[in-house]
Amino acid sequence: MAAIADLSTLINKVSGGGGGTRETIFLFKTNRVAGATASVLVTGRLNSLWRMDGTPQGGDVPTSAAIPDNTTNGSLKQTSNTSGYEKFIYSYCMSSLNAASFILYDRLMHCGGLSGTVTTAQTVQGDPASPGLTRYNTNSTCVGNMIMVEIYTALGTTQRTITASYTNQAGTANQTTIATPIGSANFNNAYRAFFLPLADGDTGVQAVKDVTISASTGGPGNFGVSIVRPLAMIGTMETGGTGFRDFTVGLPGLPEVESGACLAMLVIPSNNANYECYGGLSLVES
Amino acid sequence: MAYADYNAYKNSTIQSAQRSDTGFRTFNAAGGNQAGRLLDMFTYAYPDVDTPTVPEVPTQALIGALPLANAGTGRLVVNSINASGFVPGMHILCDRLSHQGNLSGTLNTTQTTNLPTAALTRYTDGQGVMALVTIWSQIGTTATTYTINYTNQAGIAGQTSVALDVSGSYEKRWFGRAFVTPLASGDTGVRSVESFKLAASTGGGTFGISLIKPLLFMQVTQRGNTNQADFMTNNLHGGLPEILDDAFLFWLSIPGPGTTAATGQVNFSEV
Repeated sequence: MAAIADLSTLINKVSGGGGGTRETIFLFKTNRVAGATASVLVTGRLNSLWRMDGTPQGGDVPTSAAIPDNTTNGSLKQTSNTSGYEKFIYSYCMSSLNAASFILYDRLMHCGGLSGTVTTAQTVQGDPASPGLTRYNTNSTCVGNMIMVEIYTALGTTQRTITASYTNQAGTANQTTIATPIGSANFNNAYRAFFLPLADGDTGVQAVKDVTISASTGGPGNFGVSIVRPLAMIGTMETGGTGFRDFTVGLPGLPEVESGACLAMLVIPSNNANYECYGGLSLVES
Repeated sequence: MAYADYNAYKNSTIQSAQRSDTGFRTFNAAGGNQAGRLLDMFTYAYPDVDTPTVPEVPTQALIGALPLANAGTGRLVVNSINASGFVPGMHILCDRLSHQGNLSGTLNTTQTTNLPTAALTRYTDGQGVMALVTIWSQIGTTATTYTINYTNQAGIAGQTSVALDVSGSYEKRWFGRAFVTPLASGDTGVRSVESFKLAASTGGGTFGISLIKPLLFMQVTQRGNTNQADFMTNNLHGGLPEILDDAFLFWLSIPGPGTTAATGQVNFSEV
């Protein structure tokens, strides 16, 4: 099948015509992990909701590199694509306890179990990359993929920098990211996430060979590396306020969700008080 | 059946097949520190609703239901909503499939009073059905957690939910506060709830459990003015889901700060 031709086609599909599936995922996240209270998120910084309890369930800490999909806990668990159909987002809404920004993304690869005290290169996908990406995995489609560090257990309190060795959008291996702070307050907290800036001229990522910390942060903790593909952003302006994205009337049109995509969310909260958010994601196939 | 095109949808919006009045009595989201929290607005329906006791499938005869006539030969959908007086926030239109009440806020043993929940008559496979725990009378001040024992969307009984915190702070013990229960790993819905358990006494109050299906999300941006929402206005999200025969429609709300009483209309079409 092909892209949705026009508004009439979308209305027809959303009201039950034209084959394929349509669905609205109700989601809820709270500041708890595996049934216990989680540490607070970091205000004004990027945090991951991957592990947070709610609906759908929170995810596990990954170990060696793996390709998560729409059945992996932590994902929003949209239905698998109907054979021969493409899936699109047509609306996305969030409400949160405090004003916040949310990023909806496809988690293309992830790993965990990396240490904040090891100062040699720590393997992510290795060389050759294993496993290789299964979505956005060609020279043209990987443009826009990003490298994300995610902390699962708090690291040490000494600030260091981290770099990754990766393969860029042209298939050039052994590119190095720009050094980014890791460790110390606001850069060592559990659930904290941050993107690694790519080398000059690079616009995408096909694989991450390994990562290196400049020196020990003073505590091993547990962190991981993911390759992610941001799909949409949304902001809630106030407590109880709602952020809405209606992609039928606003740019950039209907974002496509690749078959088997592992949809997950990041949040930048304005307040780190007990976290709680609700929302919905509507998808249609064509 | 489905809308053939945009004109068919527009015409149905202009000439709604039926309209259903919807209203809440006054509630205060500021005084209760409930701003940004999930509230079961069935508890605030006007006129007053009776607290559920025995397990039942709510019907149109029950006070608090948004009245509607079942579809004829087609599919009933919500084409638009007009509402005034809602505080700004998100409001979620849901189908209340089954509910019960009178669970104690003090017992820390497994409670089976008025359980299991009444068997589903809509969305009977349980896929996407959620277990909502509502505070029907203010619970005590001691922070604790609850779990439920339930049958999942695959018919597997004996599943235990992930513990969720209740009480301890004002916004988690107030009348009308509701909690979406996190399900066990891999589960995507609930067919029935068999028991409820608090890890410790909260010190008082009662809970009830409902099985619900969220349908639509409405954004309200301005208090006092009539907010209009439809599929094309950027205020109503969730598409055009089918409203099943005998649906018991009610609202979940995540309000901003303030006091409000709301009135409005939900407009339906048949396609």
